[in-house]
Amino acid sequence: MHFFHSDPAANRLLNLIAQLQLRAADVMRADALMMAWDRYGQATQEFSTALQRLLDDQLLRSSPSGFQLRPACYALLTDELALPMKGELAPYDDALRPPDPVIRERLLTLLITAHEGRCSDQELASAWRATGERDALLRRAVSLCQASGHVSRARWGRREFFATLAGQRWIAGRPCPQPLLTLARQLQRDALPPKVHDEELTVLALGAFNRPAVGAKLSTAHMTNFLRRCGVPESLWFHAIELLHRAGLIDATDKTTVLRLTEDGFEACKRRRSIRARLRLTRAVQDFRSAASESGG
Amino acid sequence: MSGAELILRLVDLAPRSLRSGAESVVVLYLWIRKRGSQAGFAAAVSEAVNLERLEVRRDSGFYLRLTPAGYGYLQQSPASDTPVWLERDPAEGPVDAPAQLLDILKTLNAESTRAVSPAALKQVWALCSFRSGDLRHAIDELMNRGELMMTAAELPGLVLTKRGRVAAGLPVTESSG
Repeated sequence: MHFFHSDPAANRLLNLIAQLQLRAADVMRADALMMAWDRYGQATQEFSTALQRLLDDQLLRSSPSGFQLRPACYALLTDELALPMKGELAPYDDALRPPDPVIRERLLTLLITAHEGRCSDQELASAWRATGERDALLRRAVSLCQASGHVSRARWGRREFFATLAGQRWIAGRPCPQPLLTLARQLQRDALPPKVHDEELTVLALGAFNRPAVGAKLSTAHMTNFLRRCGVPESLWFHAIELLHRAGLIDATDKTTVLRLTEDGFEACKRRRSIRARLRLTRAVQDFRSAASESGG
Repeated sequence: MSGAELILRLVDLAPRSLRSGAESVVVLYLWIRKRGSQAGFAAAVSEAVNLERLEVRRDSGFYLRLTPAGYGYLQQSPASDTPVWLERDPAEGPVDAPAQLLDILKTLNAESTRAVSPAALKQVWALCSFRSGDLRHAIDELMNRGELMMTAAELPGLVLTKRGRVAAGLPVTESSG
């Protein structure tokens, strides 16, 4: 940390901004800055005070879409004579890289709360940078969300990203609890998943409960074995489990290894027996198996 | 666009933290991609420095950093055609990473045999919208082929060997490894 400001909270915010890769025209959105503030473990209630202080001191300029550094602030942050201080904002640790569901949620939140729900490449990159995350993670978030059909890119006019209906449904679901985030770290793979519809994957994954009943329990090992037998690639295993949880069809118990079927999940299992659902299911399994045989898997 | 203005825009485009500035070799790569050759780079840097919009810093390598006046100048006149990394479409399919790395080093080593730091190479790679995992594979592949080596200088860097310069279609000099 460096000493940029006499107010401790404003100083922490300035140190945080100094770590961002900001371009001169970049606008920092308040919600993105807030995410960065939270990520560095700062007290949430101090954020507004610190931001207001920087505005009052003419260090930041407010614009309709967010905040920009004034040249005076840039001069302050690049001042070679700024004194180093004790204490560090948490440095980036790759082991602490947020798991896939978190970056997926972060991207969808940025898109949904953006002006008119759309973002150009530059606006998105700028908003992402302001969260303190690396560009490489944005690329992964975009690829993940495009594969699952949660994010799409307009092919006309300005080629902007937007959250699809599937993406909006996903974000409106139940957030990922800590046990599932732990599981995400264990199950996520660097390889990008193939394109798949949420509905097909959900119906398929429910098949793991071969004797469905409200409260029926299943270990995640059993679930992943079932998905493997169906030809679902490893890169989709966690996404399948999370889809069930988001839709309220399963609960994740305190132990990450146990998944419990909810009442809604039981109803969904019954609907799964319909002819239409079975047709979709057969098609999904065939798609996975043919994709696996094409890739030699 | 004048050379000095282009330099300012490229420094702004290159990945950097506000305090460190951009590695000059990354800015040079962007300059060559934009102008086709290294010609005029040094003069443009010098002009931007004389206008007090840019400063050259020596840390562990050469860095170019906008001055507050340069930063303010860019805010007042944002460019309309600045390229960004997201323009690479995933539908374009997998890249031939070793060939792409050879092409980047060919661009940077066309007029010199100076080593490129791994950090700068990583930034150039990211600007080209390639995945960082592919860079590791490309470095391994070129090293296995004997076309790339790590220099043993004070600051570690990667440089094409004689075989690598031949593979890249560059003239082989006495100082090539």
